[in-house]
Amino acid sequence: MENIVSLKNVVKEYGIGEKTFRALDGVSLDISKGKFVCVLGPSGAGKSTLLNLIGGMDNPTSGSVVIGGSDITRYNEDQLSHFRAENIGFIFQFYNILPSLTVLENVELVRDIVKDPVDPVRALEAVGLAEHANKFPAQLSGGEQQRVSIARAIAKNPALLLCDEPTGALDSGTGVRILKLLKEQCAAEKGNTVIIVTHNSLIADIADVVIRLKNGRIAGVEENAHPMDIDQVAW
Amino acid sequence: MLRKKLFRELRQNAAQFVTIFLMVLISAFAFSGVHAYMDGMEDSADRYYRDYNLEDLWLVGENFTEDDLEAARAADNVQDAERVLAFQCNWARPEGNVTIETNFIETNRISRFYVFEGEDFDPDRDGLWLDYYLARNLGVKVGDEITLTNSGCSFACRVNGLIGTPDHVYAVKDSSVIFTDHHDFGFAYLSAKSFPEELAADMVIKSEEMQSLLGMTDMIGTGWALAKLTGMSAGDYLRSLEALQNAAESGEDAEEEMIDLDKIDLDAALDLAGPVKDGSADAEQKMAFLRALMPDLSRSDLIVFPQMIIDAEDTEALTETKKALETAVPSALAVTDRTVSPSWAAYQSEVEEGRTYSVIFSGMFLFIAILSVVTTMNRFVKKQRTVIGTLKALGFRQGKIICHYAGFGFITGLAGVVLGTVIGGFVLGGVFLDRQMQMFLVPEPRISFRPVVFAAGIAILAVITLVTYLSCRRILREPASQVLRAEQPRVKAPARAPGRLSARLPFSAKWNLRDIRRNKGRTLMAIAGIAGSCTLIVGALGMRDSLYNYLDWEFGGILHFAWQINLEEGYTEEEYAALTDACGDAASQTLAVEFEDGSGEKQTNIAVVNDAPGMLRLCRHDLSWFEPEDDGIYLTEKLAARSGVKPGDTVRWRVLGEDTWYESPVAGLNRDPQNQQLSMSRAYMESLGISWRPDTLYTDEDLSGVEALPGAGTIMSVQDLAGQMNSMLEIMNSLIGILIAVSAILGFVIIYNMGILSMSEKNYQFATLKVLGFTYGKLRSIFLQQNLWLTVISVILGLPLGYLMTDYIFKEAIGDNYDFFAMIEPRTYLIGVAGTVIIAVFSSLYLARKLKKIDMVSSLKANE
Repeated sequence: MENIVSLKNVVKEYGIGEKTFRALDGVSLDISKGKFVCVLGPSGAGKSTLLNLIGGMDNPTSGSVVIGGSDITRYNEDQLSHFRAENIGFIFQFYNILPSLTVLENVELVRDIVKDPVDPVRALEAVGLAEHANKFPAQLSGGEQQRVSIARAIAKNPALLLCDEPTGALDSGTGVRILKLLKEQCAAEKGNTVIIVTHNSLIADIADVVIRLKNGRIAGVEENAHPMDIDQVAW
Repeated sequence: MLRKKLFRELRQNAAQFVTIFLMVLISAFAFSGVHAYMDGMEDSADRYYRDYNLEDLWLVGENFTEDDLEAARAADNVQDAERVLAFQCNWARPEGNVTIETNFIETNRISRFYVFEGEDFDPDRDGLWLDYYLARNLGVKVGDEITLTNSGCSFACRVNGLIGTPDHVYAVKDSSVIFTDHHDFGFAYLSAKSFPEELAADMVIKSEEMQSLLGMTDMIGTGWALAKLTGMSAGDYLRSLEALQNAAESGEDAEEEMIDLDKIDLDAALDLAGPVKDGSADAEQKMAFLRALMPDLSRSDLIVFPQMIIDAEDTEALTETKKALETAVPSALAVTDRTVSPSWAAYQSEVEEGRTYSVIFSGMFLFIAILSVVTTMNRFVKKQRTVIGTLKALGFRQGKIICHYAGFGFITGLAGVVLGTVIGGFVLGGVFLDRQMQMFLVPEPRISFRPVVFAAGIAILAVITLVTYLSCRRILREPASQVLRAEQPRVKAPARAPGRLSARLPFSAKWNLRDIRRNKGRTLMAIAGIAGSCTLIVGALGMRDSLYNYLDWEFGGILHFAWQINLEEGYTEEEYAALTDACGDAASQTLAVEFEDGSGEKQTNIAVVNDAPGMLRLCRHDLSWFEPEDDGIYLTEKLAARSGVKPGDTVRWRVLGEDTWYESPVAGLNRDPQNQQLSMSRAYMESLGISWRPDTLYTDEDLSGVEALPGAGTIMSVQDLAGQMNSMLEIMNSLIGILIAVSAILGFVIIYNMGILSMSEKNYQFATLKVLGFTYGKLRSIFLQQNLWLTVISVILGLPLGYLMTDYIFKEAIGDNYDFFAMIEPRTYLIGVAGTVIIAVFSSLYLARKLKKIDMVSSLKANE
């Protein structure tokens, strides 16, 4: 199957004060298109850093990050913006939706950056929030806000959906609903690839691929031949 | 969609953007207002000068004849010329005497009347055209009759019109007066054809020539000296007599000077010569005497024109025109241009002075306002950090994000600039222009909007936009992943371990010191802003102190007397003796002089001959007093500097209108705040052969209630003289009020903004301290401590800066005619300190309330 993500010897270092911290240390991995990928690891393992590099939100110190056949490490700022606009949908733990725009407007926002986005109303319907379209984020619950974030991400019709602890701030019931929504994006008719970074090892059971990170290195990559149905998992 | 976000967030953050809006509005208001009135003053006067043909040159002589007039008109680059006779008359009113500068003219083609009410000038019409402001203030209307008196001769005139003329934009009685309130002094114009006969006769009789003639009645008796009368003007006739006398004295042949004696009624002339000579002749007798000597005498023969005004074709070639006129009109004793016209120079000086204020104060406003806008915008952009990160993560291009955020500053700034410029121009500019026009008579004064005002508005917008751009760019430079997190304080390990002293400091001091070190930019901005406020307070009050100091220096220091009596021009010896018996003989004489400066150029000025020891004092550079010695002349320091003359030099000078040049050593320099002139002692003047005829007496006798004394023109107390400064003080007080209010607002906004910025940056630290158990009081004292330190530093900088600003305005910028300096009272410094500290403490306490509301959980969580 075609690889949508391909990392080779990726190193990422951060300067903290006068010291250097290596967040990723020679990471190489390939992710096939249409997979539901779970990245697991303890705090400080480099999970978010990996996600940021794949999403073009950060540049590696060395190594190459190839997304959809293009090495994005060679991109300048404008090219990276364009790349994110066209290819990546981000979903954050704390939603990061714009508080001054309504639910619908938050989704419509992508029209300013994507040529042919999904109809925002349809995107909201897909996440079950059509009736809240004219509310402001402050009027929604956490789970609803996260669904707005997902609607905004899927409205771009991105090849890659990158989720950083998408259920971290939610109760388990709401988290399950969100995971279902994300999983649906990988369905054959949509063909999107979803990468979820999480502490929650239970999510590994429903993933097609599980990548384990430890101290900035790949500790293991497991193909899950028979991922469980979300409802089967005891959350 | 971003546009929706923009307008919605403008509303949501209304407090911040209203602050920016107000700051920009205030600075644009001040800049535009001050410029509108200064530029308006200049443009209104320029229009007036151009449309009503202000003269370009002035000729001063004894009496310009028709031939002189034609010669002047024929000179190169001369468009037109007109003769003028001007002298002061008294208008006795029940409320008090009014001095009227009375002008007699022939055509009014130059310096034409601006007629507010009544008729245009008509040379064939009797009556006068009166100063509009004076008429308005005294309730005089067209058609009223007023009676003017000069040298005991009174003439009544109907008021034909109320006017202004471009050479009387500023008119004061004499050089001791700076400001006129248009109540006791004004000007009037009459046609030369309506020159009062009686006055003319009196003037001819008092002329030097006739006095000389009266001194040689023997010669009249012999008749030979009067032979050339027929067809001659009075002036020429008298001059010819003088020439004949000189010829007789020198033994030359006077045959050709013989004139026709048949036309002269010698008997009548000789009968009347006695009473005319001893002053007992009445007006009728005086005229009869003159007609006996000059049977063809007409009124126009009697009038003398000591001034001629010139309209040049090319105002760029005035130097050449001056030379051409000196050649064409040899009887011209001096040819001067607008720079020595008191009206033009005083107005111009006011404009220049205002320009200095406008540059300094509006510059300060702009600087402080920009500082507060910078801090507010910076704070706003920082608050939007994660939103910027989200937009970036979504794929918005940097340019688009920057444009979006620049839009916040731009739209707010644009509204402030447009409103501030318009309101400032029309309201502040209008009010200030009206105030100025109480002093200056310029018809149809209008405020002006020059390109510099619009340029300043664009510059303000550019700065705000640039600030927003830079704040945004700094955030956008970080990787998107980083921007999504709350900003981490940049912690740099100190180069060395904290010293023992630092270790001993209390926690709050250590914490604040390190915070200042880590946030140098923010700290410097806060210091600059608070110091700016302190500078404005000290500068504003310092200007007031300095002005009062000038008043004490001039009125009570230099003018060290209780009352001043301006003597009438034609006072008699008996009148003078009576006045000195009653009031003492401290007196001065004013000479209009021409002198050669260091480069040999001729300058006209005034020399005060001082015979009033202890009452009309000279002031040394160190402000101590001295009396003039009898060994030379004294120049004021500014005049000496301007003329390139120093003590020990020799200055060549003459009394205007006389041919004798004197060479006098410069005995010393003195200081005078408002008159840059020459001085000498009476004894020195007399040693040069110039006769003493004082024009002013000074006394400490109480003359309150005394309205008139024989021989005295006006009687004024030193308080009356100082009182003329009231309008200037009123303007100054309103300016000070505005400055202090603006300083307070700006100071508060800057401290508030800096505080908010610092508080949001340290939010999680305060939250941590709160978790650890720090009380609100403890946190507040930590927070206040830093602001107080910065305030103390700012005050230390602001006090001397306030002095320097005032000193610059008073010493350098007010103009060459004034010698002012800053003199700031200790009380003002104390007010500056107290005001700044109060603003700082008040705004800090206001801010500190936010410490109560810190939510420990969310503050700490947000920082994860």
